[in-house]
Amino acid sequence: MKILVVSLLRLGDIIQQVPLLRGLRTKYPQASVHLLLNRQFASVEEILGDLVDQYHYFEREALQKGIGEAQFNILWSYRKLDQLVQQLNAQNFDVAYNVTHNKLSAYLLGALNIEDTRGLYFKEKRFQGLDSPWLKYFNERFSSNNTSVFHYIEILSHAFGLPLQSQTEVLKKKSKTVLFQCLTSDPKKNWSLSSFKMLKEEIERNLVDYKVKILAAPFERDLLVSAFATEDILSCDLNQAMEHLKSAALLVTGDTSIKHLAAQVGTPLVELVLGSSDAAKTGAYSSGAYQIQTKVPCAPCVHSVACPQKSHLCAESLTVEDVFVQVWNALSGQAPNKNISLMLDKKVWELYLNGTNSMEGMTFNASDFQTTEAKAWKEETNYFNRLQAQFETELPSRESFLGRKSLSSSDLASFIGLAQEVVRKKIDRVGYFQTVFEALLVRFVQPVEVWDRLNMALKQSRDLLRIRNLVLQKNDIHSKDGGYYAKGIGHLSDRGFEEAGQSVPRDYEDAAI
Amino acid sequence: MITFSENHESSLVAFEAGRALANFSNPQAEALKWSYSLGAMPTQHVVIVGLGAGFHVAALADLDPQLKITVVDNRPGLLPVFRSQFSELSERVEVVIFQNAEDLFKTELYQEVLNQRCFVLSFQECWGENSTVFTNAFAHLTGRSVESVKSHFEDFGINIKAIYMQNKNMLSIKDVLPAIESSHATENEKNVFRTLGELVK
Repeated sequence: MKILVVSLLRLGDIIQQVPLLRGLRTKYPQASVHLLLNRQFASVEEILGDLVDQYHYFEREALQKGIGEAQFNILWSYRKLDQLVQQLNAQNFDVAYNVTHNKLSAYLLGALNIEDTRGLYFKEKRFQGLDSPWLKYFNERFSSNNTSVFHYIEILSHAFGLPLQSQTEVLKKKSKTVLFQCLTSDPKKNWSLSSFKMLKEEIERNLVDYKVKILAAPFERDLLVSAFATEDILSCDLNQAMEHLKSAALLVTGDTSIKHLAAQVGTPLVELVLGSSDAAKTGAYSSGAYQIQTKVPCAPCVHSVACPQKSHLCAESLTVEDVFVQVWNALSGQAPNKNISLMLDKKVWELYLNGTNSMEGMTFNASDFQTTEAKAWKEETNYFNRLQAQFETELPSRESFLGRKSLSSSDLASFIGLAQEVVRKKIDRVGYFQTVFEALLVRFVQPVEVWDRLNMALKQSRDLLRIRNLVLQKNDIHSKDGGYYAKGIGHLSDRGFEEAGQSVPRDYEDAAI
Repeated sequence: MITFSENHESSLVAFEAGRALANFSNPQAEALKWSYSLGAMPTQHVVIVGLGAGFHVAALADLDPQLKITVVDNRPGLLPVFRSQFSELSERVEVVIFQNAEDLFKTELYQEVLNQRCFVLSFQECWGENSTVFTNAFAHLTGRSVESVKSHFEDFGINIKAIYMQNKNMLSIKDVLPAIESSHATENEKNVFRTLGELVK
């Protein structure tokens, strides 16, 4: 079996996709895995090892040059790209996975003759490949600034049915070196060098055994020498960076490819989530990642657009003390804070996207439900239930839309007012009602189409809330079980009391009598 | 009118209407600078628009001995001096003389350009009084003029009228994309063009 993986994003994204490539290897151990990536990131080959059998390159820079510079024949880039298409078609791939999910990759896959394409592609004059509810969710949440409860890796592994190994085990290291990766590809995501410098001093003053070193790509060095001593700067390529990370106790970093590299090699890290970076979507996928998210209202901002604020608010809001606390936690081996509410939301969405209401196989930790956060989640559920009921009441009947030629906002005034209030108050953090809000923004020819769309959106939120209530019910049963045991009236299970951890031993002599 | 003058290094430098077609005091250095600025050639056969005094042609030939070079110019008077001054290039460099830029459409060279999508270079210092003619020749050879689109895109059966709506001297692939959408090109071919369209957004 021959598999083509199309990964035409940046270096960090390719490294981030390692768990997917591992999943592919696990699922198809005999398959030959080919990876198509941008030529400028060819150095990633050193990192991917035997996960990939063969590489193909998309000559993005050369193609852009051929398009943009007048000396090139107008069809030079066409011919060059067509050669790549022929080269890939000659491989006779059985299946292609598009992990890029943008128009460019969709068109390119549309140009290839591959029977089985997973993920977005363009054929028969339309975009296809969004049949999976997971990919639809991916499309809705990642193509805009909408929130996502799932990480990029989690969504694609579900969508493509690839087994996802548990996040890389993080081992506490004996090393006393803390690494900093100060600069990112976007100034918006940078914490100031002076803050990094103060953090270095703070670490070395309070944790006397530890030394801080600065990782630097060769082109970053000149900028870094303005803040750090030359001997503290480790100028290195990607492979050398990986070796440094393997032996380091901790990495402190912004949203960089080095962050994903640390996650893959199992180095604990403190991630400064600034600017357009979104830890929930593309944070370091590691159980040893301590993420510090800024609380300013403009974050996360839009990708590839300069910061519109007068000063860099998100970076300024993050103090050296905040970061040092996380460094301390990470070095002392304290587990990152559990986000109970996110965990519960994930369970709900996972059941919904998998199209099942069954709680079978879902495991919950009873103690998680005793937290204040879980109680708040329960209250939020009740509020959402009331909200759903209100939306359904405020939606006029379908009959009242039938036969009408036009529709004005006053026809749906109370429905719109309710939606506006929810949006304004930012109550719906993870988008249970997002499709309802989006339905109000879509233009239709017939008024009845608006009703149909709203009705469909309300069905989605109703289904989601039904699952949410089921999760809550399961939690309630757990809590009550605990209560029965405490009062000594609980049922004795085959395996005995939980406290004893074993069955009551059988007395054979007694049985004989 | 083309004239020649000998500089202190005994090199003949061409002049047009009293204007030198290369740096008079050091034409070799100027040509070397130009050829080094080009970087690696993306095709094995390149076309240079403008012969001028020929020093830039010689510099490029020297830099890449494997490169096939064709020069186009509309001033036949430049040719004898070029051939005698750079006799070692007689086998390597072909010179095509034309009168109007549109004459190029009928040449074998043009067919070769279409087949090989040759890289086209310009050394504007040698264009002299012929800037407009050479600009047109450059655009025709690269397929970036409205008049040349028909032949460059012949395989795709595009609607040329749509291109004539473009009021531009130099077309880019982006200008042609709408015409490609309504052309007889296959869906796979169109997808290759669409991919390129995403690169220019």
